[in-house]
Amino acid sequence: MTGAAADVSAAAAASLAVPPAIETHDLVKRYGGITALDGLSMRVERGEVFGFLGPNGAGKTTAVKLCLGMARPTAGSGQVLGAPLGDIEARRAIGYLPELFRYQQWLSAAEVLRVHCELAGLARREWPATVERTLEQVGLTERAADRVGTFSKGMQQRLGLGVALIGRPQLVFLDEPTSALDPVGRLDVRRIIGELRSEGVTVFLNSHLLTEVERVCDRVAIVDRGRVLAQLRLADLTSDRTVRIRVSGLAEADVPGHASPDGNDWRVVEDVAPDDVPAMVADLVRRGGQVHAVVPGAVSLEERFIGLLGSGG
Amino acid sequence: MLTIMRLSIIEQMRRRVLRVLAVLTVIIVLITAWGFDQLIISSRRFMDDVPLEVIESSLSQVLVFVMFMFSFVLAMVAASLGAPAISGEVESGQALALFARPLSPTRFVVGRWMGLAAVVGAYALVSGGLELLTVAVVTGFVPRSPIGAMGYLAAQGVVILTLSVVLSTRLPAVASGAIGIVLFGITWVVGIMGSAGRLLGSTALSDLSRVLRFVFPSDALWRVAADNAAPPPRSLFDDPFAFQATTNPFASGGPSDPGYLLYVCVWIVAMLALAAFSLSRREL
Ligand SMILES: Nc1ncnc2c1ncn2[C@@H]1O[C@H](COP(=O)(O)OP(=O)(O)O)[C@@H](O)[C@H]1O
Ligand SMILES: [Mg+2]
Repeated sequence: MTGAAADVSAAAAASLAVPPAIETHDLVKRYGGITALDGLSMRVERGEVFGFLGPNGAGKTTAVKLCLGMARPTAGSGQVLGAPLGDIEARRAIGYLPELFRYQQWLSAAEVLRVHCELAGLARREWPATVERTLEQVGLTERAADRVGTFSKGMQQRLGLGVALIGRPQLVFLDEPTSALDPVGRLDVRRIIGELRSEGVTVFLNSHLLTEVERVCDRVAIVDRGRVLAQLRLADLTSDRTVRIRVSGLAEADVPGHASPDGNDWRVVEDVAPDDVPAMVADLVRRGGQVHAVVPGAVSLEERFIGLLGSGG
Repeated sequence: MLTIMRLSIIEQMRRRVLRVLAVLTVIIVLITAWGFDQLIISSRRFMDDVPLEVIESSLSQVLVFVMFMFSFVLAMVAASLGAPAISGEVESGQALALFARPLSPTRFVVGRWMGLAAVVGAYALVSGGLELLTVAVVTGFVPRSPIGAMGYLAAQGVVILTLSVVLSTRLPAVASGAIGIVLFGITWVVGIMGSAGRLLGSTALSDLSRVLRFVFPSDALWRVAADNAAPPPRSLFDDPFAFQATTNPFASGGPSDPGYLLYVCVWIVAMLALAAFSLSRREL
């Protein structure tokens, strides 16, 4: 066996041995009469930025709490980083920004981060550098010594984001991380998620904001009423082999593609090479069509989202 | 565990709880010092040659009243520190970020308890010690065992704290605090009724107080504390007020008992185990 072949098979074995970041099977969670999760099955791969997108009350926060062991499933099972749900040791490699973020108001920002360095089990000599770097990342360096109680909501969310980054996590849960942030803060969150991605950290992003998810995620699960309605790869949505066109003066059968799921008069043409678009337009015009618009790119996430929720409800 | 303990102590210091308590203690000590001084001056004015035993006995009675007030203040402090210990963290959402770390409910509960018990214990010892020292300086009266009196008072505070922490894993702060204080009061009243019952031969009453000693060892510890605040033994035999030891509702039950103290430790450990279990079953 050659050295290169041995490397390849070793890599294959390793990728088989590493369990996915998150895997759940038919998770059900009921609170009294309310079903928060209704058979949630999903799989999040290592190193992926995974968007968990759904309207309010879809069960996003509940799903994260189950993954972290802060609530127990009524039925179903799952694994996080290869450990069963609720495993305390697995939390060593997890970062979490709760939706309802609140930190010790009587500590300074730097002290809160230091407490989390300690709880995360970092060696004491690493604390100062970790705290300093984290403050820098979330833009709180100037307020490091101020009491959290004097912080604005947005600054506290930045601090929470910093807390989630402490301890070299392999998996970071961000539950509506920009809910209190201004546009600059939202940009910072996007930058931080990008940094995490480049370090190979898995990010689980809960959000009801389409644009947020659209901009940073590799893959999205659309959830409603505790179920995954669809999982999609964002690269597929924004495929450059798809165009949308608006044409009048031709019978529907004479126009390529299919009707847009929105129900408007757009049509979606899939699998056309960008170089073929001018020829397609010329053909339409030659046959007497009036071309009003040609837009590259497929359905937006928003269209899919609304379409799915509409048909699901 | 130590992280959480340190965090709890810093919290109380930063929230100015300790500073307020210190100021209150100084006020109490100054007022009672002045009071004791007045008592001594007045008794000297009326009678020139009051026997030492009588003065000591009266002073110790007054001191026991003062100590009872301290025990009440301590119970309030313990209950109000213990009652939000867990529920406050859970309700505010502060617990979410903590429990995302590899922190077990047991380590959290025990850490919180250790921090608060240190605060309650230190407060009891410092304020009680200051009071006894002041009394000693003003009147010359030194109780049978100042250390015992303070120690048992502190233990009572820790017992009330422990109960509030257990309740705090399930109930909102106001409820656990109220229950802690009410139980403190009820066991005290039952303790008195038990003593009266013993005198009057009511076994039902004395049995109840004996059972309560084990269920919630607050009043029993108070009684030992009060006993330790009595005058030294030399004056006990010919103490004209000695009978009060059994009838006086503020006065003591028995002397220090290492066995019972050991039981109280076991009780505390059992309660903390219960609290940890209760928290581990709670969803955040
Ligand atoms: N602790 C709880 N007790 C009762 N109902 C809850 C609790 N937590 C969540 N729910 C319910 O579960 C559903 C999903 O909530 P949640 O997961 O917070 O939604 P999302 O985060 O997607 O907005 C909602 O209907 C909510 O009312
Ligand atoms: Mg939510």
